[in-house]
Amino acid sequence: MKNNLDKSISLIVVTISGLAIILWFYNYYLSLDNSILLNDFNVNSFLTWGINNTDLLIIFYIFLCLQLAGLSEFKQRQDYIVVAFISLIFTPIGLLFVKDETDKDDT
Amino acid sequence: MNLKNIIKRLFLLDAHYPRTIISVIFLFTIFFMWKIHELKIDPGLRSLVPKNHKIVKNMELAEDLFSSNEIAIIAVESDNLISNEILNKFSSLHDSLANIPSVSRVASIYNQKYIVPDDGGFEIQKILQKIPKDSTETANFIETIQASEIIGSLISPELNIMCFIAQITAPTDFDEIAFRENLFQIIDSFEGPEDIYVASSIISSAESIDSVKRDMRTFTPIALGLMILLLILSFRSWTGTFLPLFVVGFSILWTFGLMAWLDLSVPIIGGLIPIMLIAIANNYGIHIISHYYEFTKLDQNLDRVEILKRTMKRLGMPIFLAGFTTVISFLSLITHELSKVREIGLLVSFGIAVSFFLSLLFIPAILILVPRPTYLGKERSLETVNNFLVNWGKFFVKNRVPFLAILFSGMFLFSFGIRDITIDTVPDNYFPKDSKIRKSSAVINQVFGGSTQLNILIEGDIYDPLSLNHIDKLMSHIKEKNNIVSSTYSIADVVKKMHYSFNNGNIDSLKIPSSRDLIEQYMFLYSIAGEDNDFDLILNDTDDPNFSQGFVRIKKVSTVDLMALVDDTEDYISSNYYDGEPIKPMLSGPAALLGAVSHSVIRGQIISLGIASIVLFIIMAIVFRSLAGGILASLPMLLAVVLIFGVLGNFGIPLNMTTSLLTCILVGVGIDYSVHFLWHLREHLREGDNLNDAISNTMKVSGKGILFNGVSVIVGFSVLMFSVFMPLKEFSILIMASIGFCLIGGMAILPAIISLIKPNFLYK
Repeated sequence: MKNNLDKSISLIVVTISGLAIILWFYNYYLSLDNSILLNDFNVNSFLTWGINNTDLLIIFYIFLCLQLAGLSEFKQRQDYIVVAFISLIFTPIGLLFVKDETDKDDT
Repeated sequence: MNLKNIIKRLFLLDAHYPRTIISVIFLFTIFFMWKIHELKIDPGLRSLVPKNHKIVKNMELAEDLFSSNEIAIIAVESDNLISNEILNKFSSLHDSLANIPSVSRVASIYNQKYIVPDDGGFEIQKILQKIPKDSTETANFIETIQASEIIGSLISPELNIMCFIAQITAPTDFDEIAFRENLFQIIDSFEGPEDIYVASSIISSAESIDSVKRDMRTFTPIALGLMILLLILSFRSWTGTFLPLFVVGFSILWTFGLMAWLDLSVPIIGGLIPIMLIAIANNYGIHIISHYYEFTKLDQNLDRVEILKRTMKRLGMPIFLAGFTTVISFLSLITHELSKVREIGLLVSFGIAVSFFLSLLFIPAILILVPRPTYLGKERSLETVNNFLVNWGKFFVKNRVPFLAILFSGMFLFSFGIRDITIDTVPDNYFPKDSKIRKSSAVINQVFGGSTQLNILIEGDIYDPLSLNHIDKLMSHIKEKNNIVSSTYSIADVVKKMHYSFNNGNIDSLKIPSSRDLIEQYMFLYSIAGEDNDFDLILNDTDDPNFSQGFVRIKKVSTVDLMALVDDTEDYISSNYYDGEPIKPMLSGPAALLGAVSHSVIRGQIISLGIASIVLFIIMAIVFRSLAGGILASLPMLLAVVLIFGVLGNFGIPLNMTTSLLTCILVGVGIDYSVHFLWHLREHLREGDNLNDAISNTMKVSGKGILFNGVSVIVGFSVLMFSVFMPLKEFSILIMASIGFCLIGGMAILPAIISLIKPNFLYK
């Protein structure tokens, strides 16, 4: 694996991607037509959005839990099913209390 | 450079630059997502038909010449309809409807006029001159209603339901949803205690979009959740669960992104793109993961790069073949008559090609970077699944003769249902029978003869008595020959009525007068008594018209009857007016379009399915260098096609735009399963396994990929059965049946037939 070159190229591409995302948000949310959106943003509007879109919040929570469980599978060498359920039931904070088994490392 | 070398080089790229590959894929995803928020949904039927289709051209001409091309019927039911209070209340509804920007005109008892014979001439009178205040005025009004021939068109015979016919100008970019919201906002303010019914193809379209959006939002997360749960239980790892799904997700985003960059709108059938990609495209990733885990289990000491190298060496060709054949099966849709279906075919092909390349690039790049699941190091890991698959294969090999005999006889009997397949492209039928939209349509169909209309655009010297006689003959022919026609209306009816009234109601004079001057005088007289816009819908110019429009109202809309009506009218026109003399009638309007679309759906489906089957058979025969190889690879897919058409016929599920595209999924998935099974079986036989061991080993690795993919898709789509929107509900049943049949084809029929006939091509 040409590790260093790979890391350097990917860093450049990730930076370009990050800039592209910022530019997209700038174009989409800060353009003249949409400037109102940012002015209207406050905690209350966020809460209202959350109440109206509970389904999206639940989906986001489950998705986040399953991704963090994946991280735990790789970093702490855990069984994915177990950490996925721990993450879902006890929130991803539960993963902090899982025993590290890095001795089972894989190359 | 051959394919094996290309796949090897791709793997080397993965092995040396995994992070670069992942980041470049993300960058491309951002590029494709850049304009995705600008995508527009185009639910109209017209967007499905090519712009140069004669009916679309006629509709555009009609839009230029006349003020409307669609209608919406709003009916009000009350036991006390002819009362001062109710008539006063709903006169405001008439005005509110007329004020909707896209409504060019509203016809109701409030503004309708009728021709009254007068001494030596005729008069044009309003049916409702003023709202009756007492019983005498009410009795007079009822008398006028009965004399004016509006019973059955604007008011029911029992005088308890009246309707408002809104003529709508709906150009190509008409916003159905905004119109419906506008209309219902007005109607809601009038509803109760009276019942209000609304029927229009525009409303049905808008309801369809809303239902699809609502159900997709409700059911897609549940379906994906179930698929994820099954993949978690199957692979017990993040990589096995999410990598195939991420590949599908990227391919969906890239496909819709491409649509946005190309400024293509999403037609109503565009909702099938993610469904097709979910059903087909996660297959490649699942096979890679399944093989990667199995090779890891076989040799625990090898590092990840070496295991991946073996996996890609083994899987590169079958995955390429599976992807290539699926792309071919969708490309066969470019022969379809409907332009949007062709577009969908190309876009899904793009999505599948993307998922194929991402499976070869993105999945190995991630697998190189992350450790393998710890459970693979345990001795008995995946043993239960492996045992199940091996026993499954053994069962069908052992019982091949009775299994194949029962299967083929069952299929033979089941295939009789194909004769009973019905076609249904009518938007109203997308909703359950007890839905508000179907109930409203039923009331309006029963009382007012329907809310769908076929327009006949007529070119010629309209005031010429010969032309008017031909218009009259054409409309009479349409009404007499087709039971679904409730009424017709044309300039000929108006002229006849004026002539009849002018002759003091003498029944012999209910005909087109023979003198052009007389016709022109009648029109002049009418213009003095009536209003300027009275003929806006049927004449392009009241002084010297060269275009007229006739209306054919259709009661119970069924696709077959509609197709028959369109065919019969076209036949009559082509045999009587082939030279455009004395009139040139042209079909136009939503009903004509629906009839044309229905024809195209069936023809296009049969042609593209035939082409896909032949091309895939040829490719498979070339790949396996054997005719038997071609037949065996195509057989499960063809049997599944027969079975699915049998399901359609036996369970009364109609063929419509969505169900007709199902065979593409079926062909794509069916051929994938066959390719994986046959390719790996041949590999095992070449390595020296005997047939039974080769089948067992193939079941353990390829069978696992097929099973995990098939079952996750079936379980995922099962939630759509709870949709109230009929096409989604039927689609879920059919997709589950299709994938189920393909699973049986790949994992039961193939092992049984191969063990029976032991084809030579597998040993070469």
